[in-house]
Parts: sequence; structure tokens; C-alpha cells
Amino acid sequence: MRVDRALILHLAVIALLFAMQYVMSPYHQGNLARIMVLATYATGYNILFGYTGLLSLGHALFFAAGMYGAGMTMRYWDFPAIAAFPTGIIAATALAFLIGALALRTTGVAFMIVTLMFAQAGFLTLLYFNEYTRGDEGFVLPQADRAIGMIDLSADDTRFIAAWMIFSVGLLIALAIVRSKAGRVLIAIRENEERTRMLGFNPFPYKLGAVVVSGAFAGAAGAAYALLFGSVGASFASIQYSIEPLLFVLLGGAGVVLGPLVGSILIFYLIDYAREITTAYLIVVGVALVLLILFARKGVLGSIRRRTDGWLP
Amino acid sequence: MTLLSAKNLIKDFGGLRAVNVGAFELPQGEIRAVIGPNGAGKTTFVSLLCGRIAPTQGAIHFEESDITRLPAHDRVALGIAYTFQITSIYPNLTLYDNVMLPAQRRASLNASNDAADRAMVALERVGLSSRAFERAGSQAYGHQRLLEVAMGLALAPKLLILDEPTQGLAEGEIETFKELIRAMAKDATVLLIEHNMNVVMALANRITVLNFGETLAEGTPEEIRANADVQTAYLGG
Repeated sequence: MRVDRALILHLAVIALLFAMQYVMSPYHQGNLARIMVLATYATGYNILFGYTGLLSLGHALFFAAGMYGAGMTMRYWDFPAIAAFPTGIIAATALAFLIGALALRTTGVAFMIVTLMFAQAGFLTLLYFNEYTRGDEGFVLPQADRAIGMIDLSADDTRFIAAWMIFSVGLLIALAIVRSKAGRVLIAIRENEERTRMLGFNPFPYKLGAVVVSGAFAGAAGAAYALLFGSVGASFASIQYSIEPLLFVLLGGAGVVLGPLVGSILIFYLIDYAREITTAYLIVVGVALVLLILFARKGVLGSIRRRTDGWLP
Repeated sequence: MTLLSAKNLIKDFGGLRAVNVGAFELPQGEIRAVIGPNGAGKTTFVSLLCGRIAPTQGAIHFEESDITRLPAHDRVALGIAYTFQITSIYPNLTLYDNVMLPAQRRASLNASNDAADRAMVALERVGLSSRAFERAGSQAYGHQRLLEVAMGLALAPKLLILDEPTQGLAEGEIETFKELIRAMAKDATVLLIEHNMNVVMALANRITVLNFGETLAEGTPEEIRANADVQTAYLGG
């Protein structure tokens, strides 16, 4: 049998991430845990944007749905963490199904605007019901609740492993999806939707599937964020959190499974270092994006893939 | 046996009646050419048949069942394949991946597992198998046209609609195409829009002539050649 070098590469990256906890300072370990959660979010977003070619500006809504789905059930109904996490994923997935079914009646720029509007409506709803959501200032999940059995998810080492597990599962699911028959159809829709329809594929269920899967990833990341870092708030439903996965994907390489991870790491540390130098750190991000568009339009891994026969999925 | 038929098929674009075909019947196994001057409504007519656009009025039947309201992708599942007049492939994918999609569709319709074989066979039939893993967008125009046909072939359709397949090809390439279409007609009924009269006369069993969206004449190549109305329409008498 042929050696599956793509799978080996992805497993190696997963192993490398795991090993990082032994060589990193607690500060960087905490950063990497946060990066892996955000990279999970972006990995799902990549299936929609990078592989299916649909640009959503509203995925913060699904991230927040996961976050609030987990946070609210813990806060008001005393859900244990182990039940709150899947509740968050289910909430985000159901919402993605509903909004996807409506928003996919549009295409292109209209799709961007409709998803943005839904997300803004969700953001404002969280603020409107401030009494329950504590949307404006957010609320903190008590450390005692953020545990599965005896495992304390707020401790540095367990938090890292939890983030690593979520990211690893997400990465392997994404790899399986894009290499499946359905993944081939998603790419075909991105490349030429009309042609794909005339080859007998109804694009709608595939596009809806991509919205739902990316929504589920966003929800898993949002719920994990609440459990691992303890904070829940409406700011996570704001436009900034819709743009972030787009930036990660663009910088790392749209349509490359590992792209979002690379993009998340680069942007996270870019902001981190820029903050030490100047308060206007977003200028640095802006310059990085301009450089990207000028010199590596396909992102870091997208540019590398072009030089390696394109075997990287 | 009639494979496909259309009755009182009308398509209006605003005030313009682009297609108005009273009766059209395509028997199984035939190579039928649709010809007509520019703007006669040929592409619009076959687009109605394959479902890319919806008719204003009229009915279309395929193998006895009414497909007038059926979306295009479901018509493909029934066995109607369409190749585009303007080359429509996936330029960023390999030739293999291009034909793999229709092959995968056919395999899933047949509940079989032979998509990869189907894809390679389709590429072999158009003579592109040696280039299977090259990028489609980097191929010469003639090869892209062949790839387009291979994508249709991989669907193993009952009816293959070819919209000006030889457009823009060199003489030698056209000869290859003629052979290819003849070979395909052994397994499928072919509906061919074509401007090149040499190709039409060599291949078609029967010819339908459209003019201003209406059927001007229909008959064997000899009959059409001798038809005075057709000569007038083409020569603008």
C-alpha cells in the first residue's frame, strides 16, 4: 500500500504540539492552549471558506452559541462540564443549520452581508438580555465547576491537554472530510458551482453541510474556551471574532488543512510581540496582511504547497 | 423508441421569444444535430432540455416521465449529460480530479465502487490518460475541450448534449472529435449543436434547423441540404 504521507504529516504535527508542553514555559503553554482552541475554530471555518469557497462574516455567532450553550447551562442549570461541552456544540450546530438554510438562499457578497447581519442580531440579542447573559461585562465560570470528574480543566497542564485533544480531533475530522468524496464535491463547488450542478450534484446540501460542520467546529471551540479559560461574554459574538478565523485562514493558507493552525500561531504571536512595542499593535497586523496580499496570496502553506506538487491536502 | 420529446416549448426573455418549438422528438440511438444561424436559440433550446434554465411554457419528457420541473442535477441522475459551449472545467484541479467527479456521481447512482476506473476509462477514450495528473488549466485548448467531453462520458449518460464541441479547434483535432462522437454514439444518444457543416453532414442521422427560435426544418442531411428555406435562412436571401 502507498504510504499516506499526508496523514503521517498531520499526525506528526499533532505529536509535535503535544511535545511542546514539555519544552515551553507556562506562559507560552497557556498561549498555545488558547491558540489551539482558536485554531479549532479556524479549522472548521476553513472547510467553509477555504474548501467550499463561501465567505461568512458571521461565525462569531456560532462561537458564541457554543460558549453560551456551555456557560449558561452550567450557570443556571448546574450542568457538569462534561454535559455542558456537548450542549454548546449542539446549540451551535442547530443554529448553523437554521442560519445556513436561510443565508444560502443568497450567494457571494449577499451571503457575506446576510451572515454578518445574523451575527450582529445575535450579538445585540445577547446584550439585550443582559440580565441573564451578563453580555456587556461577561461572567466568569467558577473554577470549581470547570472540571471533569477529578480533572481540573483550569490547571495549566490539563488545560493544555484538553485544548490539544479538541484540536487534534478537529484536525483529523477536517482531514477526513476534505479527502472524502463529499470533500471533492465541496472543492468542485468552490471551483465551478454551475459545472458541478451539471455533473449531477445538487450544491445546496453540500454547502449547507459545510456551514453546519464549520458551525459545529466554532461551537466546540466556543464551549472549550468557556470551560478552559472561564470567561463567557457577548464580546465573543462581536464582528472581531467573525473576522479572526478569516485572518487565520488567509494567513496560514485557505484550503490547506494545516493552514488555520499556522495562521493562528503567527497572528497570535504577532499581536503578542507587537503589544510589547506599541499600543497600536493592530497596525502590525495590518502590515502583515498587506505583505501577505502582495507576496503570498495563497497564505504561508498555500505558497509552500505550490512548490510541492500540491500533495498537501 | 423516443428517448426525449418536447412539446410547445417556449422560452421568453422579457419581450423576446428566444425559443418556440412546437414538437421535438429524439429517438434513442440517434445522432441528432441542431443547426441554425447565430442567435437562433440553439443553446437556449438545449439548456431547456438539460434543465439549466426553466421554460416559460411547454413540457419535456424523457423516457416517458415528465421532467419539465425537474432540476438540472436530477436530470443528470436520469441520464442527461451536458457539455458546455464555453469550456467549463475545473482549471485548478488535475484532469483526473476533473473526471473523477462525474465518475463518482455515476458510481454512486449505480451503487458501485468503480469511480476511479470509470475516470481513467473516460480519460483513455478521449486520449488524455497520459496527462491524468497534470493541471487542467495548463492544458491546450483542444485538450480542454476533450476533457469536457470526457467529463460527460464519465457520467455514462443515455443522452449526451454537446454544445459546439469543435468550436475553436484545428482541422486535425476536428477529425479526432468526429471519431470520438461516432464511438460515443454506440452507447448514447447524441444531441449535437454544431456550426461546422462538414462535421454535421458526416455525423448526423437527422438534423433539426432552428431559426428565430422556431423549427425551420427537420430531416436527413440530404433533405436539409436540398431545403430551400434552410438555404435562405443561412444565406440571408
